[in-house]
Parts: sequence; C-alpha cells; structure tokens
Amino acid sequence: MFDSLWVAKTGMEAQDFRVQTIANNMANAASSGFKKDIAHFKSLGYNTVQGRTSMNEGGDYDIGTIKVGRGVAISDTSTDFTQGSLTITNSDTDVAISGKGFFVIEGDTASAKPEEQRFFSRNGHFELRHTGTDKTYNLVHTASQKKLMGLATQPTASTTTPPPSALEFTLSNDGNKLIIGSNGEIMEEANGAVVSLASPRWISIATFGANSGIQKNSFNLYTDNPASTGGARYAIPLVENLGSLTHKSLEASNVTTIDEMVNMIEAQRGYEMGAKVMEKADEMMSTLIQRT
Amino acid sequence: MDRMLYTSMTGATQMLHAQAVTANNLANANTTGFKQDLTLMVSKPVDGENSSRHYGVATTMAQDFNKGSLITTNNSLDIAIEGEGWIAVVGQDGTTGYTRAGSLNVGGEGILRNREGQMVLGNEGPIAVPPDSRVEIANDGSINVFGTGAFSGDFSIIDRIMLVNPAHGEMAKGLDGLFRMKSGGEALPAAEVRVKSGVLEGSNVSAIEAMTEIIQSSRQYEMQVKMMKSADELATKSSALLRMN
Repeated sequence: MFDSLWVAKTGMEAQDFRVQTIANNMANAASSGFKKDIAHFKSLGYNTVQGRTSMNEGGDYDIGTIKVGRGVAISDTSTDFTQGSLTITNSDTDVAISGKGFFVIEGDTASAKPEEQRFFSRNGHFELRHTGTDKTYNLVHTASQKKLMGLATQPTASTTTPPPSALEFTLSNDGNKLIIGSNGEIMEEANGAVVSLASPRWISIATFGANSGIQKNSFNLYTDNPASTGGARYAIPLVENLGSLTHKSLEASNVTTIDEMVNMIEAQRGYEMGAKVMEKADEMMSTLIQRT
Repeated sequence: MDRMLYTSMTGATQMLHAQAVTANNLANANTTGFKQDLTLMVSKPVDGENSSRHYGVATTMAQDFNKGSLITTNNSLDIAIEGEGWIAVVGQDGTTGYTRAGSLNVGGEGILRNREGQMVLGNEGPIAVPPDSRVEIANDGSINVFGTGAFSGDFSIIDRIMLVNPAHGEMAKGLDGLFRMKSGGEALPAAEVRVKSGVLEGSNVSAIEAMTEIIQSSRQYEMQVKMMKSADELATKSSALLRMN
C-alpha cells in the first residue's frame, strides 16, 4: 500500500547522499590536489503489483499488468581525475604534477600487502625534515605527515621493480635552496648556481592502468586496489606519457564551484520533489481516513 | 450500489499504482540511462452480465524511449550511445539484457562492468581487461588497451562492446530494469551503433511532467474516494426509504 511513499523515500535518501558528496567537494574546493567525487544513481528494479509477472505469448505484458519500480539507490561514487590548475606558491617544498601520475607516499612498510606499503597523492605540499644524519633530509607530505618516496636511479620506463623507497637526499650545505627539476630530480642551489646532488635522487611518480580503481583515503591520499587498477607502476616524471613536475607550485582542487552549485540545486530540488510526493501520498491516506 | 462502490474502489487502487509508477520515475530523475515508465489507463469491461460497466485499469506496458540529455564526465570509461542503440550486459539472472546506461568500470577480476555490477558483453562474452593496462573506448565500441609497458601509444583492440539496435517496439523493460527482446531471443549485434566516450546519457524523466502526474493522480484518487463516500450515502438513504416508520 502507498508504494509511492516508500519510493519517494529512496529518492530522498539518494539525493541526500548526493548532497553529502557535493558538500564534501565544496568543502575541498581549496584543498590542493583534491579530486572531486561524483555520486552515481541506479534504479532498483521492479515489483509486479498487479497482473502476471511474465510476458504473454506475444511478448507483451497483459493489460492490467502494473510493474512498480522500487525507486533508486546510490550505486557508488567515482572520482574525476581531471587536472586541476596550478597555483604558484613560491615555497621550495611545493611541487605540482601537470599531467598523469601520482606522488608516492610511504605507508606501512612492514605490511605484507604491497598496496598497504604505499599511498598515492596529487597533493604536492611537502616540508623538509632533517633525518638526523648530517645534511640529509626527507620530504614529508604535510597533510599526512608521511614521507615522500623516490628513486635513486633514473628509469626509462614505468615498472614495478625497483619500487620507490622513502626519499632521502644529502645537500652539500645545510640551508642550500632546494630545486626540483621537471623530471623530478632533486637539486640544490649552491653559490647562485643550480647543481645536481652528489648522490642524485628523483621524486617517483606512480601510474595505474585504470585510475578509477584506486580508493580515496583521508589526508588527500589514495590506496591502490590492484585487482581494479592493474597495480601501480613506478617511474619518474616525463617518462613515457607521465606528467612533468612544476616546482614552487601546487595543483589546485579540480572542484568547480559553479558545477557543484548546479548539482546542489538539482539534488535539493530532487529531494524536495520526493518530499512533495510523500506529502501527496500522506494527503491521500488522510483523504481515505477522513472521507470514508 | 455495491458495484458503484467497487468501481470507485478499483479506480482509487489504480490511481495509487499509477502514482507509485510516477514516484519511481521521479526518484530516478538522476539515474544514468533511465527510461521512464508510462502508465496507461485502459477501460476493461467487468466480467459477467453487466457489460455496460467498465473498470479503469492501469497498465505499465510501455516505456518512453526518448533520449536523456548528455552529461560530460571526462571519464574515459563513461560512454553514451549516440542516436539509437543499446549496450548488451549480463543481468543478475544470467540472461542478456540491454541498457543505455554506459557508466562502466573495471571491477575485481579485471572484468568490465557497469555501475550495477553487471558484466558488459563483448563479441565473445564478458570482457576481461588484462592487468597493467589502460582502457579507452573508441566510438564504434572497440576496447583499446594500452598494454604492459606500452604506455607510449601502442595499443591493441581486445574486443568490441556488443551494441545492438532493435526497433523500440521489440523491446520491453524487465523487472530488473534491463530491457530485453519481447521475442525472448537475443538482439543481433549492430555495426552502425556509435558511442561517445567521456559522456553519459542522463535520465529522460521530466520532473515537471512527473510532478503534474503526481498531483493529477492524487486529485483523481480523492475523487474516487468521494465517489465511495457517495455510494455509502446512497446506501444509507435507500435503507432509510425502506424503513417502515
């Protein structure tokens, strides 16, 4: 009885979830490297409330057959990985990827599962941290306080071996300015000239077969899900068709406030229309009770 | 009088059903590739000698095949069919069904699926995407895979999504929301169907139409209830007439 009441409920729930997704996108409109999420709807199939459930010999439903849909649900959310615009920050430890690829951030290195050993991020806001060894530093991903990973060799193709390890580099003098090349090479500015390090290091970039398979985590990090992504492959920037690095810049969030506003209006009105249907169903019930 | 009561009751019940159908259309106003259900009111003679009496019977035999608007997502695995045509998928019951919802992803086991988790059919069954590869869908539905270590631009076509194009009249929506051939058979692959990658087809539900239908069905329902009340009053009056004093 009064199926529309329950159907309207599913619609309102789905729109509510969508508003949450939009709200999260909006809240992260200024988060560096944030990629927006999109909520997807799926219809829930049908019940035959009257008549035969199967088609007749002619392949049609009999007259008087009513199939009432069960409403709608959120199937999942997907992430839109389009490039965000680059903003200049002038900070020596900020770096942005233009194009394909993710920074590799150290995870639980003791874990047996390779996907737990590393996280991935598009947020290139790092800070310099002294390792305890003389003139030797790490770059730490500020949002998660985990180390950026890199390579000590310069690969020519993306590969799974050797996997990157926590980036550790030694400057010739404490206080030398850090320079990051577009291919990810860590360099320093000594006596006004840009020079390579004695033992060169490169920031590693990871790439996936299908970005859609990686999962969002907190602190702008992503986790690999090898079954869906095909597994992470590592290289340095500008290898194959990977993106390049821009030093002293950050990638802005790819959330466009205007798009989100339009989606928000659509979701809100969808929600209101569901509420209106509920109201109508309620009116009908009250008509039935009062008029008979 | 009893027939009047029952005729009105049927009318009210049918309006409830019709409203639920519209409510479902409205709930799916943002569902990718959704085709709205149309409710048809059919007058059906009452079985028996009173052939002058007809019930109004609601029927959901047809769907609106109009196209939904295209929404750009820039996701290479989102496809929308340009013009006529359908994407073949495997329904939960294992049979082939057809849909216009082309939001695809590579799920676990590397199988190409839609958002409902249904496997997308290629020319020879489900499409397995090799690990370590990047997938793009060409406009004839071919799946181009940029394979292991070959990110530089070499690609191979592993399969083609099965696209079919039967006439609308031959298709009906099943209980799982997928369309199937009324004949019970499978549609033949159609080479002329074109898809566009990076866009999705929205729902073809018109919110204005659906809201109007909701108001209309609730008003009609009230009228039926009013008729039931009148039938009740008539019965009271006629029994008063029969009273001896």
